[in-house]
Amino acid sequence: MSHRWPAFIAAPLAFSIPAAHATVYLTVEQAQQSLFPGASFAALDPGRRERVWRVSQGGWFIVDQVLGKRELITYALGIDAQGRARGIEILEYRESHGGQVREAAWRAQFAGKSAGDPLQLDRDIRNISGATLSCRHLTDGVKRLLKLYENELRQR
Amino acid sequence: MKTNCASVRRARPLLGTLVEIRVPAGRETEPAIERAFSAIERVHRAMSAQESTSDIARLRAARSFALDPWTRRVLERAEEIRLATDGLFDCAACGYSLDGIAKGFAVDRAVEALQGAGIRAGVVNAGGDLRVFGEAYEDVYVRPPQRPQTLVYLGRVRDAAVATSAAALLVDPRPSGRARPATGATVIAADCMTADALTKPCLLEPQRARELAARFCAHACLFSTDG
Repeated sequence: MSHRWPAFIAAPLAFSIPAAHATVYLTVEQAQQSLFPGASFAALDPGRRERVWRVSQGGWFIVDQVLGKRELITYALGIDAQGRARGIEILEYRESHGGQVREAAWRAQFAGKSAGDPLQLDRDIRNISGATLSCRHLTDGVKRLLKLYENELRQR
Repeated sequence: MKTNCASVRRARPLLGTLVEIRVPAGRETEPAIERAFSAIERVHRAMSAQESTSDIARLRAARSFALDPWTRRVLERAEEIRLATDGLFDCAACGYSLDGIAKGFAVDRAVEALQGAGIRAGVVNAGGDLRVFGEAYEDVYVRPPQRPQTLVYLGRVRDAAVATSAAALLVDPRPSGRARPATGATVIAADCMTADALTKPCLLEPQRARELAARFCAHACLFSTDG
């Protein structure tokens, strides 16, 4: 089994690199089509932080942001005509400690680079293991949006 | 932002974290990703320690009921790993929580669903427990538990799983007065359930981590407070 990993796996953790900034998973339009395929969407008067659309086939589509432990998450919630959560899509995920990351990146450019692994500030870094991200705030966010539906959207 | 435009990435909040799936773009991509998320939702429903209707909640309440066959698989594997790690991995110590292994299992089922739908390569990452499948090598980074604002380059992996755990969240099944655990452990294994489970014994007995991991053809990397 061990032959499947290159030798330098045995001596890892050689240097630190900057963290990623933003990951865009879906645009608003893509999330709309994912949650309500084939529907059309009418934006409601903004006037509030959340962005709300009425769905042609009944129901609502809401885009909101929550702050996690260290990250800002933009997500969309689909609510069906009966007021039940139809699904959640993550639109964008952003590291909220940009300052530290930028500083680390600036310093890192003077450190020895590893061959084939360019240290680019805006490089999209994927495949991160560890320090589990908390989605508790996302759960709270969804609860709040369902309240928003109960209190305001349902009567519309 | 720079992305690989030939790949599709999706993320959903599941298993108490953000689960991300990335596969090459193609005609069969969307339904395959949907199947993968459905598999993770099934694990979430059956094995969540928080949801009162889960198998775990019902096991704790000692009611008789039909277990999801997936829960049975995880319980059996958990017992195998408990025996092979001299009791260092022990779900019973955490009140029969499968939190230390179910996330890895969910990643494996998602990979299986993607492969079953004809997807040849990709990455599934459940809040840090990730698995890479297919031909290509992938760069993998670790967010050290004691320095979450930094990323450490781990190396490249192909057809492998990587999981990381922090000591802060650890339940120690050993009698008190034992050696101090490491602050973080990363394990690379062939499947994500094994990688996920092995991080805990490796954290608890860092000096034995290499040997414990080797019993499963896995590799362990440890973090301590001094980095």
